[in-house]
Amino acid sequence: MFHDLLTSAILINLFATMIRLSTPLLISAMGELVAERSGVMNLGVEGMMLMGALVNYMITVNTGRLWLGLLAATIAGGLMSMILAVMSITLKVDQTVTGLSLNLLSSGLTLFIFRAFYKTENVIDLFPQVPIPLLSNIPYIGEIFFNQKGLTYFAFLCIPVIAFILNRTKIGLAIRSAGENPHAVDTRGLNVDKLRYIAVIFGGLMAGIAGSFFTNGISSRFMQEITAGRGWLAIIIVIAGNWQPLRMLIATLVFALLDAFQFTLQGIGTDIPFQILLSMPYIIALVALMSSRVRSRMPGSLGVPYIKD
Amino acid sequence: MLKKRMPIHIEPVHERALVTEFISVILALLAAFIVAGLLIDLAGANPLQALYLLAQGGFGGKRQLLETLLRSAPLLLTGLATVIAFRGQIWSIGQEGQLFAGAMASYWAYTLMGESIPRLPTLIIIIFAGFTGGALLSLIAGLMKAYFNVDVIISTVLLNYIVNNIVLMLLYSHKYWMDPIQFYPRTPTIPDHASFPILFEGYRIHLGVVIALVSAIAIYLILEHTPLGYDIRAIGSNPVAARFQGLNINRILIITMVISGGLSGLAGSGEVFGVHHKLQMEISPGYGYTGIIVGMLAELNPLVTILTAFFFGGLINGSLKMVTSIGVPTALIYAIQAIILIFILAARVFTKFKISFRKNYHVP
Repeated sequence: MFHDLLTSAILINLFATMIRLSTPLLISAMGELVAERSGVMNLGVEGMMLMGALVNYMITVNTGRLWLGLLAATIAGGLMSMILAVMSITLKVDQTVTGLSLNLLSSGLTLFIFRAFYKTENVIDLFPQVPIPLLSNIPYIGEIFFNQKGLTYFAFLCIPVIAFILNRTKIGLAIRSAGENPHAVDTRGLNVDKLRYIAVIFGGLMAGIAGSFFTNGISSRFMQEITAGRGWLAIIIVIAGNWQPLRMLIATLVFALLDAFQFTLQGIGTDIPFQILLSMPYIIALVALMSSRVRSRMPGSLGVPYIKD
Repeated sequence: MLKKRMPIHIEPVHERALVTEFISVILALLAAFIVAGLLIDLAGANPLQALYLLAQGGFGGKRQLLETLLRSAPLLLTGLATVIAFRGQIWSIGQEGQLFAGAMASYWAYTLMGESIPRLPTLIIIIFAGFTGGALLSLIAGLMKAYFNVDVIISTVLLNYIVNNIVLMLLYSHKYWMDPIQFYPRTPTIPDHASFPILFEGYRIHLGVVIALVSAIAIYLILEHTPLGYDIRAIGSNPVAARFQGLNINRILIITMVISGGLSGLAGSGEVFGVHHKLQMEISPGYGYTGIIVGMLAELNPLVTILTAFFFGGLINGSLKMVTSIGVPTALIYAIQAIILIFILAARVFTKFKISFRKNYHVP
């Protein structure tokens, strides 16, 4: 009896952790989806998230206000994506190279700022859990899905909202067309570059929010490379999900479950070296990429700068 | 709302003037160092003093120059790894992981041999193992691209994370490679028998520096004077046309990845057997990532890479002086180098394209 209780408690904890850890992946992946649908491959997500995590930490340490930290992190992600937009959309620099240089910038800059200004390890508060009335009382399900943080609900809400905007609104259609056939968009009198700017900056804002979750939802301190490749997983989620929001959710949950598994096992203690457990999401990501050869929904002009003839 | 057009118009130019290119690089460097100065100022140090210390520590005398040369060897190798891959538009950014794979492979080879065979064959096997280790890791990404169409940039990033974890696992456990009499994550010290020979008495310059310089010339010759180099450049300039010409793209991709990974692997052997004399995480303060910048700033030219590697080696070397003298964190260098890259990428646009600002241009 006691043993059963223990295992079910661990399982509930495992799945609740999975939902929590899927938050940054889902938010950044949905932002990346919009950018990619407009034709821009944003490979700088990792850097934008890392910057978001640091900025949230800095502002929260200095002001003690979590909301201000979140706002600043969002803006930081947006500013980073502005660099990407100017470089890759206006100046037509190769999108791969631009995204890469943004990651390098963020990795150096965050480390420098952190080392230069935060010599003492200040611990900050995390956002509290927000149980949803009634729903959180449902046995098992309530504890797993409806006793989460605000940003987690936001992440899951993004799926239907972004799917609706992309598929059912005028601006969504325009963004998708900019990624499929920019020449046709241009002939219709819409501005391809402007559409791509909107989509890329939206992706940056989302990456900033996603990054903030590392220091307001997961860890109460900042660490070097705290995002640990989660931005790259977001890019992989888009590919593995074949650019479709619902499939992306499945991919996200797989990665989040592996992460949660490692969190939980570390708590219980195990013989498997934890570095192996830490590597699981990356290994599964490689397998997922190898098996997602169907890329039927990949935007036709993804990664191609639009140059008017 | 969306109909208003941006007033910037860009069109490619066919002749690039050397003068504009030179000026643009100088301006980009200047801009990058102004930003760096602002960062130093924010950190509470005197920017001019910091930049002076940076230059002095990197290039201020014979000892500093030789130390810089030592630091530039791994950067040159990972830079060349970038050059050969990026020339063929293969976006491999696995240099950091391959460096560690090379380091692990050569350390493993050393543990198997010990001091059982004479020094020369020992060294040859260590170097060979380093190349092989890096090459094998890179080969995984190459095969994944060739047979499963996995983007090289993503697979190499993931492999970097995985390798990083493997090294940590080996170094943090007495069951594996951790020095049995210590609690630091590092292997026991490697004896002179297996260490790379020192070139000048009293300095740390070792065989690895020669290997790096020879590699630069070899990559230059491969790219410019062999059929393989021609194919790589053909794919790089126009992949679609190359496919129609009947080139075996996958074969070239895999060979390129093997060479690229092998070069990074050599960097790992050099750091373990030439500089640190043990395997530890500190063998690379991000040489793999800096190498990408080094190669790109050299416009993917293997001989120019020697210069850019030396320049960045000096920055890293000088940053150590900066941190010990006035406490500006060495991480500044990693921010500066990315800022330089971004400014130079932007500046290059002005040499490659004609940019005009006008309010309204007619719609074709």
